[in-house]
Amino acid sequence: MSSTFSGISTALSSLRAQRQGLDVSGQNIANVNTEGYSRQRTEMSSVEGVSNVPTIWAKQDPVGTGVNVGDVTRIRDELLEARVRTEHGNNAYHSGQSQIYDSVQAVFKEPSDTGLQERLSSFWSDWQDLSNQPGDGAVRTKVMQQGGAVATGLNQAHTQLSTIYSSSHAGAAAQVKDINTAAAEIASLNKGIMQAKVGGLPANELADRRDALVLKLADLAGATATVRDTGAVDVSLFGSTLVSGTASRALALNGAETLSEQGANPPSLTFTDNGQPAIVTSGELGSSMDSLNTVLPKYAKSLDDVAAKLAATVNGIHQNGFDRNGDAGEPFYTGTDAKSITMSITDPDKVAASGSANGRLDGSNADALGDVATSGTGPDVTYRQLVADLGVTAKSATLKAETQSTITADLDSNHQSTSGVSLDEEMSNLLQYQRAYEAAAKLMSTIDQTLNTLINNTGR
Amino acid sequence: MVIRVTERSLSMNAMRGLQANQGRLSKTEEQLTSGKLISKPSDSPTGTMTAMLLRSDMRTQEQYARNAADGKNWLNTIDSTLGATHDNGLRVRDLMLQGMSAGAGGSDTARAGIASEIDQIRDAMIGLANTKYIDRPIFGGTTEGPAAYDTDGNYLGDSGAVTRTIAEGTKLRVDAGGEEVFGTGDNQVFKVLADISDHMKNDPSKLSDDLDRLDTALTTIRTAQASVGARSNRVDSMQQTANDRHLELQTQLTEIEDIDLPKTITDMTLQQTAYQAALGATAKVIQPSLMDFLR
Repeated sequence: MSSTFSGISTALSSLRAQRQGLDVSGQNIANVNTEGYSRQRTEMSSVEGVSNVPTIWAKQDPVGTGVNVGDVTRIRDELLEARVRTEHGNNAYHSGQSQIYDSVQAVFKEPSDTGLQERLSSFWSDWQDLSNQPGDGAVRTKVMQQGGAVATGLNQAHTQLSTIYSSSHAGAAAQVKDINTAAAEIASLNKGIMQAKVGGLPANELADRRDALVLKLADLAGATATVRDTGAVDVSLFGSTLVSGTASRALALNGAETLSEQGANPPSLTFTDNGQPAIVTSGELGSSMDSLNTVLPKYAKSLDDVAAKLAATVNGIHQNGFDRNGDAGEPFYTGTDAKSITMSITDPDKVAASGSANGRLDGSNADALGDVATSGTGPDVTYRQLVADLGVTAKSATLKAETQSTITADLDSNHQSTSGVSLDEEMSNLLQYQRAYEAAAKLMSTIDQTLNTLINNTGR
Repeated sequence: MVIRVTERSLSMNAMRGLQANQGRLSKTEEQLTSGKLISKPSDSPTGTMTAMLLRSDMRTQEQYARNAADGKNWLNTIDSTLGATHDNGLRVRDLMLQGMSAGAGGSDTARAGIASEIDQIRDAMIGLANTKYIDRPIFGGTTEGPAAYDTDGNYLGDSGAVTRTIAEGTKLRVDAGGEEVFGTGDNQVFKVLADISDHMKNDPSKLSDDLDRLDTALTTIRTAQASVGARSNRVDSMQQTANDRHLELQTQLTEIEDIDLPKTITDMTLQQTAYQAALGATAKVIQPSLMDFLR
């Protein structure tokens, strides 16, 4: 038989438990819009009257003695979170690639009435005009100006690619800094969480903050995470440890800051502690590294090919001809890449329009240059190949980014549906706890009245 | 398992939907304001390629048409000059027949007069042979000098040809070399005329030979004129072809690059409606909560 007053303690444990339930609901409601917050729940269990270890002389109560408040736990799905991290890394990578291709496409501005193709077409057309009027100084000047415009177009495109390269490099440096800060912070949060766990204290909010940082690392560099029994989380980058318990490592970005030095000194990542190379192929940083080492050098090289082809074609034909004074033609362009190509002749009379040293008003060489427009091997073709390649690759990058963003959003939504706070749910929880509290209070007053009957009114 | 829907996931989804709607609207708006379907290569890689080729082709055809127009002017100038030259030649022939005839017309005095008129005509013909088109003597080949013949009728030009590219791989000669038209050596028309004038005054017996020489020279001029006429026709038809081709390319380019206005506007209206519907739905779904019903 239980103690006379045990009912009061049962009611008290309930009052405490329901109060705690209300508090947790309050915390959930307060953080309904907090990024990275996982909803929490009070784990309650009934207190049994009978011990599960039968002992002689032990007191056995047929009725339990109230409710026990256990841990306040975060509601989350480890597997889902691992997937969310992976897809976040992929999403950041693809959207970064889509952005870089957009910037490269802006450099080439095709198809348009102002792009390099149009300048080239005008250039060839001007040669034909010169062929029609080889003696006209104005037409000669026009050919030279248009030739200069083509060279400037190539120079500008190269400069713009260089600018994109430099800003991508600066972006990568900032991302490395962010990664290092986040890794250090995760390590220190790990420490706090481990200590709390040892002391049996709740560390839900710390864990939420840490998990948000791990997700940030996934966004930045496609990092993966493993939870340890101590409560700490280990973070690794494609097999290399970045955070292990309370220790974190740092990355460093090395290599050329300018496009022209990229070939000799390609950007790379290393760990600062042992100088070993770090591989990052996902996340924002993965995308930046790909842009720096693959995308931008590739199109810069293609642009150089166009410039080299232009210089070789025009110079080759130009040097076959004869200028206004009957002298053999000089090279029209100097420089063989997009950065350095410039007009090398400055005197309109030096334009070699004539096909023979004697026929000074002959226009056959200018005509031959004009014919490059329809040649199947001219610089126009090289340039069109560049734009075709860019178009196809950029389109595929955009499509990948769109698909990936849908996948990521779906997973985010799944994650929300597991760990997110639902206000309706919290409202109904509030009602439940409130009613339970009222009922426990009622229980207490009922027992009080019973005892009042027993103590004050019995035997009068 | 029933998916748990939270306020945040509701609003996240709503935002995603609205963003997608707005993205489509902004793309359509961009197309409408620029009038272009393709604004960057990735919009349509194949379309971009075709558009670039068409543009470059259009420029080439434009240039061919311009070359042809220039060539036609050359040929027309040559044609009318040759016509006038030939007329002058016929006038000389008439005068010769007059001088060779018996009677008053064939008297010494009359022949002296005829000789002086022939000299005049010769000067006029040399003048015609020096006709210029845009500052270049049309019978002088590629010479830089201002004239094809000096006042004595000696050729100053060279044997270079003036050609125009009027279609891909088609280069047409648009001048007529002085030596081909007016002959060389003793058969050169100015030399023949000088001889006629001389013989008219001093040795009428040689005039009948001279008449044959003159006829030969006039035949050469006629032949040249026929050739010029034929080439002019060819240039005409090629110019027409280039213009037609340009128009055709322009149409193709428009089809690839430009928006279909009614379709785009309809699309935009549809998208606007969809966007408004999404906004309305979002407002309705997100607003109510359990709190509205708990008292």
